[in-house]
Amino acid sequence: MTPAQLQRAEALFFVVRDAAPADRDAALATEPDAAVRASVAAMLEAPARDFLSSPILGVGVLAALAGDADPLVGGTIGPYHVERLLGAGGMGAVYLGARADGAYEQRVAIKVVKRGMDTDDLLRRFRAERRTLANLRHPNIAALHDGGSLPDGRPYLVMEYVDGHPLGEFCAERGLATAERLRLFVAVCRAVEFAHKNLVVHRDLKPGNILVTADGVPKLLDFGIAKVLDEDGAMTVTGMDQRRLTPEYASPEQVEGRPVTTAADVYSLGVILYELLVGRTPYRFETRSTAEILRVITSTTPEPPSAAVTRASPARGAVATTRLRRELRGDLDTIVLMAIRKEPERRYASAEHLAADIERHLRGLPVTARRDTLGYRAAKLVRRQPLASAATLAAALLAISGVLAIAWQSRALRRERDAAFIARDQQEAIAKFLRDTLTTANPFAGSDETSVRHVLDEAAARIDGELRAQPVVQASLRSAIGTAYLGLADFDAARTHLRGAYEQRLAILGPRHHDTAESLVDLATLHYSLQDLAEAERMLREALAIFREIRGSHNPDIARVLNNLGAVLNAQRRTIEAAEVLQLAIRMREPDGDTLDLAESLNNYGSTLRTMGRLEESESLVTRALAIRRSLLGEEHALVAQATANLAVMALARGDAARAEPLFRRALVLEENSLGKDHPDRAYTLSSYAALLRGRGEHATAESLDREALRLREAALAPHDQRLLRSRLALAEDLAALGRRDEAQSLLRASLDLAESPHLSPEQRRRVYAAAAATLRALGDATGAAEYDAKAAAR
Amino acid sequence: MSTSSRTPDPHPSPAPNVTGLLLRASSGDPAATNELFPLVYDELRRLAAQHMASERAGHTLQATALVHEAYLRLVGPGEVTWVNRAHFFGAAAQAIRRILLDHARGRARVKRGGGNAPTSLDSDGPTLSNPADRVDLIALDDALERLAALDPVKARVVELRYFAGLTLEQTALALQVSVATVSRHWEFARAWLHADMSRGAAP
Repeated sequence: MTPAQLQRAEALFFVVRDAAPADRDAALATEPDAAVRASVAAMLEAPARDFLSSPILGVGVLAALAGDADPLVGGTIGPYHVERLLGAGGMGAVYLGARADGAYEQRVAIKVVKRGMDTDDLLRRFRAERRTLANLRHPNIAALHDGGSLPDGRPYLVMEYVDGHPLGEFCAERGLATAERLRLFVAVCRAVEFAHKNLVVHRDLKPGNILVTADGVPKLLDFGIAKVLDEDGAMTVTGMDQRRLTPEYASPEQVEGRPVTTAADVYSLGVILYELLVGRTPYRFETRSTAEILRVITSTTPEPPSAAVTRASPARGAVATTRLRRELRGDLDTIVLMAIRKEPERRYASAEHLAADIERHLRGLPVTARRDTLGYRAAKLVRRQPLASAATLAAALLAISGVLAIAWQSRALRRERDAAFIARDQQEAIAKFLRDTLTTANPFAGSDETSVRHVLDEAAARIDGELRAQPVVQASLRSAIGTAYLGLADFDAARTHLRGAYEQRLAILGPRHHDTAESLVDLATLHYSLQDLAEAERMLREALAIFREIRGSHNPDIARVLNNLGAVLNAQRRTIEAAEVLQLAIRMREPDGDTLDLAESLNNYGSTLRTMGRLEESESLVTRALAIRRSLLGEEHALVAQATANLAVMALARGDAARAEPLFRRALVLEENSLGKDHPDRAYTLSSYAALLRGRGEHATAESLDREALRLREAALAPHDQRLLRSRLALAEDLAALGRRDEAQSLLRASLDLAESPHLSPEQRRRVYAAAAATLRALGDATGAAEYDAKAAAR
Repeated sequence: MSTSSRTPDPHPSPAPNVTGLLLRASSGDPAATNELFPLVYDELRRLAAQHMASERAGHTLQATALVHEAYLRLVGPGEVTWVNRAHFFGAAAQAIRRILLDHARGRARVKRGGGNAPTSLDSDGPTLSNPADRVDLIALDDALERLAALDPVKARVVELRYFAGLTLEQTALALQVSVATVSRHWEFARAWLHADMSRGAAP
């Protein structure tokens, strides 16, 4: 409409308004300009009535005008003096505060949640999240310091105060070029990645949550807050809470109420990148209705940035459209569109992948999927077997009584007509077997390994004969017995029973049965313990397929298989794949709180990160795993010992021998108490500690530890097992350093012969070669050492 | 949380010569208008803060009362004609409009210092005393901008009437037009804005 049209509309408006109702159409028709006619018709059709009829007024307006004249301002919240109101909205208000006790000169932002939200619930969620969020220390993430509730019951959260401008505004005001915007964005991705590695998903990433300080440092706000503020951790389509979801940046899975993962943050990052490059977000909504938002986000295709930029982009300032279009076409189009794909699994696998691709683009390299370049950094470290669990008497008994539960589940396969009888018979059979088994154990014998062993052997000897009539129960018990042997590191006995259980289940229950798949998982654990990694992986993938088919993709069985698969992949140094499945396992296990299962996955993920050389992140995960295990198991437990040893190895990898040493000593004591002197799991701690001592020149002590490790491994492992070979080579290295060259030479030769065993994978062989090179160096054979270094590095 | 016993800021001294600014503004000096705005803006905020701090914070206090109070404090009674006051009320209306808009956008940007609120709280705007009168301030602002582009006087009428609470007579005095003209502008502007905003976000 033009000013002239408005004038005509005004004249017409009053003419038509004053006309009798019957004459109105005729009056309207006198206007030749259709736009003017339509405009006046619209005005008269829906009269303004009270619209704007009285001046804006009221206490809300006054408060808005007053800005900082809130009753909280000038008072205190917890230990903080409240200086002024920073902002307010649907969830409550944010204040600027400073330590009132003068403890530090620290300015904070205090978010006070408005009345009406459930304080107890919110605080409970906050406490649940607190430890995770407290770990989230990163220069580009605004830290969450504290939380509590006001005397009137309103909860509040205390966060790092950031004095900066929203990302988009910062870029526009400084007139940043595309490359500068990309660099800033990469820093944002890295911060998001850091949070993801610490298992925190933002869920509400948007430019308003990313402030850039005057120095150009981006800071991400409100990490983890969405989860704390969110009632049940998930939003449904109908319950989509538009106050909390910003449709422009919300992923399809968020608006559909599907589970939100790190992929949702990757999506939001993609939208933010789109906006940074183009000057507007990819989608436009006709209305803000739920249906419209859902339709647009889930079923329309966004224009590539280079096409969208032709529509004039004020936010990109003076940059010529043609130049901008040229910059965006190709790589950047591809990168952005990949990040905002509708299917989470087809986006970048992580914020880091997205960042890496942008960096490739910036360096003029072709944009590709990122290749594994981190694999071998920590290759010299001996790895622990994260899966093998130790057996104490309690654990063994638990394993056996767990059969009760398994048998209970197997009721599902009962035939309708005699279901009750079968179930009762099975339970009775189990109860009798357990009773008889337990009576063979001397209740005064204590919990040393011999008695566990004795109970197991007794049970194993009787199982074939006594339970022949109950093959399903027999298989369940076999599985429990096999697992217990696995814990005792008696791999031959474990194999007999686990394989027996598997074959029995396959025959009776068929291949697509829960219990059959479970047997596959057990067998995979055995193969993992024996370093037969390819076979372990194959079995886990088969089990995964079965569980997915019969139970869907999100349940404890899947979490367990993914966890184990992660350990197996990491042992193969396929760290990126390992990290992916372990993250999934953690996400599935986390909702149940701090469980042993979660600790197991955290520990495995920590090991994977260590293999990748990401030691700090690794340490924080293993520390958390250790805390969970301590709180659930007490100090004297094999799993606590395992996590302690892992922390020690981590400290050693960081070069912090002073911290590593007491941890090693502690782990050795705990292991001996919980596993017994002869358990091969001790060998890992012994040889890692020996490596520390060797590095300090304490060869005599190292030698005695390596000798003990070798003894344990010789007893438990196959002769060609790379861990055994490397133990022997380490011992040879000690001996060479002590001047006992002949002994060293003979150990070296024996190891190198076995290293050619066809049972070893190329990766395992390389690790043996690397150990051999160290031994040769200790023997003063520089040429030989160089040769084996080369063999270890060869692909 | 106990209510703070925050005392109102003392009136800045020496008082800025608002009367002089108004006279210069009405003689067509744009610099004077520019200088006037922050003074009015700050005074409004200060007064609102006082009202909020005093427990009797009027649920009934109208923007109108606030604007007149600000006027009395900055200019004093008498002397200045309504013609000159027009600039004051124009500035006040714009100030209120801007503050509420910022607030509605969840920005609460402090005028000076330019600090941004580090918050992701989403906006649902200030609560008006009468829910039936709930107006989407952001949409209203957009519509007002469109109207101002076609007929600036009508937009000013709306500003003075709605945001500063002037009567038809006061508005007529301030704009130096007849009451009948203001009335006509007002009726048309309301109808136009209403239709425009009902149409949604079409450009």
